[in-house]
Amino acid sequence: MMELVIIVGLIDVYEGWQFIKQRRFAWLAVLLAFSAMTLFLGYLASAQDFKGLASYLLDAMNIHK
Amino acid sequence: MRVMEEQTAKISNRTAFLLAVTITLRSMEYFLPQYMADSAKQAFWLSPLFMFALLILVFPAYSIILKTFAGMNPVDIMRKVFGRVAGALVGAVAFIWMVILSAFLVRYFVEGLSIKFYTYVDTELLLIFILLVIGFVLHFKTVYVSRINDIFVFIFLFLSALSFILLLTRMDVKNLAPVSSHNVPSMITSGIGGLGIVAIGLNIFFLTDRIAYKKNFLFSGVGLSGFILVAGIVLLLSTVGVFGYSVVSKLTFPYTQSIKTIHFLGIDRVDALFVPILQFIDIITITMMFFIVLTFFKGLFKLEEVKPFIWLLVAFVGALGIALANNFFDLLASFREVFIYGNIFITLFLPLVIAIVAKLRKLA
Repeated sequence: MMELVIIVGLIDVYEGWQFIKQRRFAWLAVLLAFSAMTLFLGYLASAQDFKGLASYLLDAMNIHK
Repeated sequence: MRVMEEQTAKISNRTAFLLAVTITLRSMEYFLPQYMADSAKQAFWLSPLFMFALLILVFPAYSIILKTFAGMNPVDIMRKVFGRVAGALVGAVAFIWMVILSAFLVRYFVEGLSIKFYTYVDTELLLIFILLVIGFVLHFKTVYVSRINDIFVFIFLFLSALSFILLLTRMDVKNLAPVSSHNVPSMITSGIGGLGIVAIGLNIFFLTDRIAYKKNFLFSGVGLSGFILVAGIVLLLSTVGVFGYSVVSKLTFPYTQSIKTIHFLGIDRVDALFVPILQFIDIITITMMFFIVLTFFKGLFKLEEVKPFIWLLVAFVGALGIALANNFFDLLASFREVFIYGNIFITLFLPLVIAIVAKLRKLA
């Protein structure tokens, strides 16, 4: 999770600054929205009792592996 | 000069089909033997016939789309055909699907590396390194990356053919029988499932804004279907035909595991010859999937350039790949139960619907 925060942070700072310089605020919003989703996925995946999105989906579909 | 530049910036008909050959054959090597062995049992070697029969129907749809909407982004095509809101909605679904499929393929590839060769290396570390390479490659034009494939596809085809021939010498006819009329229903269902595997390679035709349409597209499409039929049967015979369906259905990577057993003129470990080129082909496959994701992203958000978002999408797909499953078996089960049907729906069914609606609305 820590690695992901650092990677996403670096991407955001670099690309975000370019967008602010070019006054592309809609692009900045897309960037931040995707960053938030990336970090959320990373947070989910690092949780102790997380079984994986595919596993939850298969459980919901009542498929036994 | 300008015209020449525009021509060179497009993927030619030949390059597009060679890409489809590469990605289709690689995904078949990954998923087909196990899936067919499990679903069609001893009639596995007849299932590609049904795949071929259904596949032939899809190429006229691709042809209509590429001919009528030449140079248009796939999401723009959907907007034009289905209307602004419905088109954007369908485009969004296709985009989300492509992202999930890319995440799955990246994770599957990394798990494969980790299971087969780098047993003691952390999967997430491998994932980060592979995504770094892909993110770097994505900054080049699609055309340049696809032309690399023009060279490597022949080496890949030669090596695949060599491995098939060497394995076929050990095929046991007992593994191919008995086949009776009772096998027909399972042959049809497994043939349809096989289409979901082949569809990974056909996603390449979503690059509608890059592929230059030529008159012989339909002819090439029939050729590609024929190639899939022959390659599918030979691949299945050289894996399931050698080891039997009950063994192959329990293997994680049947093709790689079977090339590890090749003995040639007293030489063992021939797989060392295949491994580097196969990894390279995997990178090409995933990179092309990312190009498709970026094309959808460009169309969906109406962007003139996608380069600033490359690293962002790469990080997102990486995180999704990690969150997708905790272990390899969940990943495999999800492929059989979800990804195969999703692929059929998005890659094969959606272009058919687009082509039919375009014809009905007299756009094409």
